Amino acid sequence: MNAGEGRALLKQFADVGRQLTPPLARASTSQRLSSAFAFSAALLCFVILLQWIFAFGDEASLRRVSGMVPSTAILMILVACGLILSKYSNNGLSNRARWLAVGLVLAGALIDQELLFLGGGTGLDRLLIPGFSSSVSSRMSTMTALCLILSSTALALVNTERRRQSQIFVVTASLGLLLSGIGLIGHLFDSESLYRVFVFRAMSLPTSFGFLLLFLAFLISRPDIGWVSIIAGEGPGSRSARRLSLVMLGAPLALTYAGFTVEKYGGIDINFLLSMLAILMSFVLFSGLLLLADRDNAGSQQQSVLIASLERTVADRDLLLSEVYHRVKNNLQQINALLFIQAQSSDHDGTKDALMRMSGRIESLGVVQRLLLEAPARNRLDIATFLTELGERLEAALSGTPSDFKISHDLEPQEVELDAAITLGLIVNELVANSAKYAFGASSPGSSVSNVISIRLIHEDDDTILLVEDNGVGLPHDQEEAMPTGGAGSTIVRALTQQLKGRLEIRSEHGLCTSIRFPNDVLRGQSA
Amino acid sequence: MTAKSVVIVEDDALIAIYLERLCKKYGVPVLGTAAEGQKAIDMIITHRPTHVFMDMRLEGELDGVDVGTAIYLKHPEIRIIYITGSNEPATRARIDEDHPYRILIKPINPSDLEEALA
Repeated sequence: MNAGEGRALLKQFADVGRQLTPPLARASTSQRLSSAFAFSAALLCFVILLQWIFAFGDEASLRRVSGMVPSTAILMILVACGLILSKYSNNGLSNRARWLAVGLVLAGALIDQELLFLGGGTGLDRLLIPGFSSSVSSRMSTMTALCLILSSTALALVNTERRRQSQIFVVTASLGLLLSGIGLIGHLFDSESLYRVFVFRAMSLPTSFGFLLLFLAFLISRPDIGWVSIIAGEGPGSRSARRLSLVMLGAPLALTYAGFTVEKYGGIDINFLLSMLAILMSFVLFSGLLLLADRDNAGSQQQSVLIASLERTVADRDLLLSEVYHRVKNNLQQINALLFIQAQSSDHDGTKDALMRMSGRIESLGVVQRLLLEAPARNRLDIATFLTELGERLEAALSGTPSDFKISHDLEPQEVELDAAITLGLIVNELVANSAKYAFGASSPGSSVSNVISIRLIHEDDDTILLVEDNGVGLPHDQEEAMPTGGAGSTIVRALTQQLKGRLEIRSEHGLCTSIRFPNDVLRGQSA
Repeated sequence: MTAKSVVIVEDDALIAIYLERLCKKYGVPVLGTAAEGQKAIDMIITHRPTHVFMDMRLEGELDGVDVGTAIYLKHPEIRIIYITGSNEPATRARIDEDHPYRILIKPINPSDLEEALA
């Protein structure tokens, strides 16, 4: 076994392992987490909505309500509810509700932006709520609208099983996560500078945080696709990713925040600070890289140890198998030797003959063993090759006892199952031995040229017919039944024919013709 | 052509007798039988048969090919007929390191043996 095969084997093990993990157990944890995030986002929006409701009518209180406008809050609640709904019920009604939410959110975000740019700066809120504050911060930010569009797209695709749609889902949700992340971190550092970027203008801290929760909820809800599948995976790589992710994500943030604070109070030159940050970030990233590389090395070392031990096992098995084959053949040879020695020391012709026929049967089994090791698959044999070699062996062994004969073959290649091949071989052995003994009588040497025993296989759609024919004397007239029951040869042929579900027919015209019809599916080993 | 003669190198006593009887049947004298490698080399060099029946697995350190190669170096004219229970590629490759005259797979066909001696 080479390393490639070993790896394929390991992959198979891994696949089996993955199949054994109950999908429900994995899914429910992520679904619960996802719903918790979505619920938190909805709750956040709800609290802000309540603030708006209580402050309504009082201009001073309205100004104190934190950034998120009512339209944003309502649309975000719609998305969150749609997501939770899609995870806990998947019938037609909930699907329609989900698509309604998608449509409403999309329409809301687009109309608001259209009003903002084309309608002279009035947003959705000012259109629908009379007396709504006209201050800049009290409108839906362009980035908020974009996040709403992204989240409604994600909501539309959240349960998809198609590859392309899954990719769009992951890209959409990840982009949303990144944008809301920029908003959130921007607020943590310096809201003023965030607002100086046009698209982020008026995107409040709660809005950013709410969207961050929402997009996380989307991504976590599908732990089977995208990069989340790597984080959520069972493999050693996923485990180290989970372990490292907090450091790798937190360290740049912490470093940058420290730099920001130092710059604000310590008066360090901004360029020096940037260069410091650059080198420190590189250091953090490089450490992470090395940690991963170290794990990778350890993993592949473990793998090669495993592969080596598998290779040893396979080699041991191969050795054992060839040892077994060797023993089988040696034992057959020993049995044959015993029969031969016994036959030689017997004075009685009948006994000698019986022992030599026995020896012939053993040799037929030996031919199968020999061909078996040359066959590409060790449970199948080409019956034509086998019967041809068997025929040659039978001719060499039996011709001249008592009269000479030739064997003719008409065999087309056909793969048969090993047991069927052995059985067919033993049947042919008996039939040829029978013809050799009785068909030609004690002929004169001159007539031997015309003595022929032919072995043929005729392939039909469902059956294969084995024909063993001789051109000898045929059945004696006083013998009604061919191959009388009771003889060893007859018993063997009948039993083995039955074993292969064959139908035996014997005719005596210009010699003896035995035909046996076998179903092909038995020969191919397909009906056990 | 000189008269044929055989030395049998075989660690299985039954098979050795079987081969001996077959030779007797074909009228070829058996000059000796050895089950162990070094004894086989000594016996073959002493008796100088025309043919050797060589089993692959023998008693002691040497295998059939070790014996065959040792014989070939001294008497390349002796025809070595390998008789082995294994026809796997590894065994075939090992036998091909020597100069086999014939390779017969157990259980052997007596007529193949007769043909090899002819």
